[in-house]
Amino acid sequence: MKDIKVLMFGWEFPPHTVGGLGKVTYHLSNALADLGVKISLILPIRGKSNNLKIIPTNLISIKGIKTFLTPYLNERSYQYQLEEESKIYVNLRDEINRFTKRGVEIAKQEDFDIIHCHDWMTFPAGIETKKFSGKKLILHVHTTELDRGCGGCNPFVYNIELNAFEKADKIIAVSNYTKNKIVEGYGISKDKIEVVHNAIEFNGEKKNKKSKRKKIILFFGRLSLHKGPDYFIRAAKKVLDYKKDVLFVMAGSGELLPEMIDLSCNLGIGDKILFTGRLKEDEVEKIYEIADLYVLPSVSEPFGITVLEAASNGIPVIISKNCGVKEIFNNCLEVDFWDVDEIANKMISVLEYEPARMEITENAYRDLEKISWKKQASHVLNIYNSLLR
Amino acid sequence: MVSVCFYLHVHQPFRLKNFRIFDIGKEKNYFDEERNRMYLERIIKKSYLPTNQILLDLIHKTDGKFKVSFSITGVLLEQLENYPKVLESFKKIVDTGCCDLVGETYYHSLASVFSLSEFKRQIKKQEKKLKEVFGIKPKIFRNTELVYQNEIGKFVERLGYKGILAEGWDKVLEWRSPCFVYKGKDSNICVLLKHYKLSDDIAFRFSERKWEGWPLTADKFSNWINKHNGNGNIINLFMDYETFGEHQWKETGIFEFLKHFPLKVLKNGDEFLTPTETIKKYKPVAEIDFPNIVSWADTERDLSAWIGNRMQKAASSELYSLEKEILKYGDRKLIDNWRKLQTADHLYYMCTKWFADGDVHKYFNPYRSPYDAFIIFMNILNDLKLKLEINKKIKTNYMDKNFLRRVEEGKEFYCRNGKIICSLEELAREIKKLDPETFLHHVNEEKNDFANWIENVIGDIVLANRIKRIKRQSTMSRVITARVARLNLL
Repeated sequence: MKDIKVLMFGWEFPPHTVGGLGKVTYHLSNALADLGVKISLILPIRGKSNNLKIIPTNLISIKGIKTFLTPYLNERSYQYQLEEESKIYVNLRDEINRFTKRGVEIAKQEDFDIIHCHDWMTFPAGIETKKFSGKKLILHVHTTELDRGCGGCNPFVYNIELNAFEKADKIIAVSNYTKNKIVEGYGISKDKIEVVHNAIEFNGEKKNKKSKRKKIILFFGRLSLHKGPDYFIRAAKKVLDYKKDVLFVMAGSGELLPEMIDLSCNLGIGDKILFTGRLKEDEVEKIYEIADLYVLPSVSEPFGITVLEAASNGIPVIISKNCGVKEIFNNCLEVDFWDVDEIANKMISVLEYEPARMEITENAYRDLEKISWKKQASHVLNIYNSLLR
Repeated sequence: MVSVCFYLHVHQPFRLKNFRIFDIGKEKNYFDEERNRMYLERIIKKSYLPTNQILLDLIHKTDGKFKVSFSITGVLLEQLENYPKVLESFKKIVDTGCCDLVGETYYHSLASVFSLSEFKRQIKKQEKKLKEVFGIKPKIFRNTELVYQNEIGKFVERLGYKGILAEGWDKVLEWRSPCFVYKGKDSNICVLLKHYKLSDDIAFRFSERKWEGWPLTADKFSNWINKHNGNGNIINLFMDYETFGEHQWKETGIFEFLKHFPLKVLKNGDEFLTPTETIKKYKPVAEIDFPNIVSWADTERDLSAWIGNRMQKAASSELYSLEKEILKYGDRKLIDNWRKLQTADHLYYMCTKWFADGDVHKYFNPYRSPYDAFIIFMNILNDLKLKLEINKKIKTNYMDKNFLRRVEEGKEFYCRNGKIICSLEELAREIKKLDPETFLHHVNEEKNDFANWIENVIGDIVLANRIKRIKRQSTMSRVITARVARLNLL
C-alpha cells in the first residue's frame, strides 16, 4: 500500500505549549509517522522563538509560520497577551487571515493526499487548501467555541467553525461529549463525526507518593472561565475552613489570573493559594511530583488530557461531569462543577481516607495501561483510508 | 420423582444519603429516605405485587401442591411497614401453609464473618421479627449471600436450626451432586445445596439471547428438572426474589414462565417441597466439608465483592471494631444505625472489581462510583463514632473538675428570693437553706430549674439526670453535695 501523505495544520508544538493541544499534535503525528504516514505539519510560530523541537523521524516535516497566534486565543485573551508582550497587532481577525494566506502558500508547494486540521484557527486554511487541491478535509476538534465561551460565544469564531464543519469531509471529535456538542450546537449530522479519544504515553511505571503532613491540591490548566478556576478557589475556602494544613496550587496562566488572585484574597485564603503562572515542561513534572490531588472543575471540557497525566503520576483526580476524558477513564471522583460543597467534601475525603486514595490511584493505573497513542493513531489511519478509498 | 425446592430471597437495603464530611456532627439522618422509598415503590410495582399474585394463584390452582419459600430481611420488613398491602400479600402466601420462611440475619449483614456474637443477635432479632409479622419460627437458615462454612453450620445448629442453605459449588462438591441432602461436617445440620446451573438459567440467563437455551420455556425447563430422575432427589432453585420483574423485566416473559413451569413440573410427576419438608423426607446421604467460606456470588464464589479491596476492608473492620463500645454505651437508635450500616449492600457498592474493567453497568450502584460509596460510608461512620463518644462521656459518669468552676458572668442562677448562685459548690450549700416557697417555685411538676441549670450551664449531664425527678429539697441537697464531694476527690 502506498504511504499516505498528510498535510496537517497544527497549533502550538512542544516545547512551547500553552494547553494540551501541542502535546496532542506531537504524540498523534509521531504515532501516525510510526504507522508509515508522511506528515507535513504547518504550525504557527511565535514571533520570537523559531527553535522547534524536531520529532525524531524523517516522516514529519515541519513548516513554521511566524504569527502571533496561539491556541485558545479569544478577543479577551488576545488583548491580555498583547499587553503581556506589547505587540501591536490590530485584531484577531486579521491575524487569522494572515495565517490562512501564508498557510495556503506553503500548501501549494506540498504534495499530499489528505488535509488534517486541528481546531478553528486552522480551519480557514484547511478549507482554502481543499478548494485549490480538491483533497479531502478532516477537521480534528479538540474544543469548540461552545466550550470556551461558556454560553457567551463569539459569533465570529462560531461561524468559522460552523462553515468549516459543513464543508469538511470528516470530523474527528476527541470525545462523545464533543461529538454531541457538534451535533447539537452546530446541527452537523452525527454520521460525519468520528470519535478518537486522546491518549498518553504511559510507561507503566507506578510512582510511589511519599506521604507528607502538608497536602497539596493542584489545579492545572488555563485560567479561563470554562476551566472553572473560581469553583476551585471557592472549594479551597471550604476545605481550609475545615482543615488547615492544605496548600492549593493553581498552575497555569490565562485571562482570569488577576480576578482569581483577587478572589482568593477576598476570601482570606491568599496565603494558602499559590499562583505559579505558566509552567515549563520540567516544572510540570515537579508539580506532579509534589501534588497529592488533582482537581479539574471544568464547566466544559472536551477531553482533559491532564487528568491522564496526573493519574500516570499516581495522583488521584476529581473531575467535573462535563469532561470527555471520563468516557475512557473511570477511576476518579466525579462532581458537578457548580457543587462547591461536594468538591470540597471530596477533596478532604481523598486526603483523609487513605484506602480511597490507594484504590483510586491503583485502579487508575490499570485504566492507563489500556490507553495508548498507537491505538488512537490507527483509528485515525482507518479514517484516512476510508476517505481515500 | 424429583423434588423441587423453590426458594426466593427478598431484600432491599436502607441506602445512604450523600453524607458530606461537613455533615459530621451536624446531620441527624443517615438514610436517603426519598430514594429508598422511590426504589421500594418501583420494586413493589414491578416485582412484589405481580409475583406474589402469581405465586398465590399457583398454590390455589394446584391445591397446595406448589410450594415456595422466602427469606425476607428485617430491614425490608421494616420498610414495608408503610405498605400494608404488600406485607399482606406475603402473609397470604405464608398462611397457605405452602410456604416456608427461612431465617437469616435481620440486617442482611456479613456478621458471620466478623463477629459471631453479633451474628447471633441479628439472627435472634430476625426470629423475633418473623414471629411478630408472620407468627412463625424458622427452622431453616440462610446466611447473607449464602455464605457458608463448617463453623457457621455448627453455630446455627446450636441456635436450633435443622437445616442451612448453601451454594452447590463444584470445587467443594467435586464428584458429588447437589441433588441430595448432605449434613454439615461434625454436626447434624442438614445442608441444602443450590443447583446453580438451573437456578441461574432463570436468574441470569433467562433473557440472554446468545444463550443456547434461549428462549427458556416452561416445557424445556421442567424437562431439564425431570431428567434428574434416577440420579438425584432434589433440585434446589435458590435465587433473588427480584429476578421476577426487576432483574428480568416483565417484557422478557418471566411472569408467563413463572405461571407455567410449576404446572409442568407437577404434570411431569415431579413435586415441590419446602426446605423443612425436604429435610424431613430425605435423610443426609453423606457429610459435606466446607473448610473455607463459600458464597453464591460471582464466578469466584467468595466474598471478594464485599471485602476484596482496601476500602471494603477498612470500612468493615472499622465498623465491627465499634461492636463492644457501641453495645455498652450506645442507645437503641445508635445501635440500630450501626447495624443498618452492616447491611452487606453498602460494602458491595464499594466493589471495584468490575468498575476497574470499565464495565460500570454490570452491577447496580446507587452512588456515582465505588469511591463515592466509600466516602459516604466513612463520613457516616465517623459521625456515628462521634455520637458514640458523646454517649460514652455521658454514660461513664464523666467527671470533670470544670464542673466546680464559677460559671461565666450572666449565667448565674437567680433564685426567686434574690439569691444569686455562681457555682455547683455554692448551689450545694445554698439549696438546703432555701425557703420551701422558693424551692417549690423552681422545682415542681412542670419544671426543675436546678436540673436545667446544671445541665445547660454547668454541663454536668450526669448530675442533671440524677436530680431531674427529685422533688424533695433535702434529697436534692444530699445528691448535689455528694456529687460535689466526689468531684473534689478527683
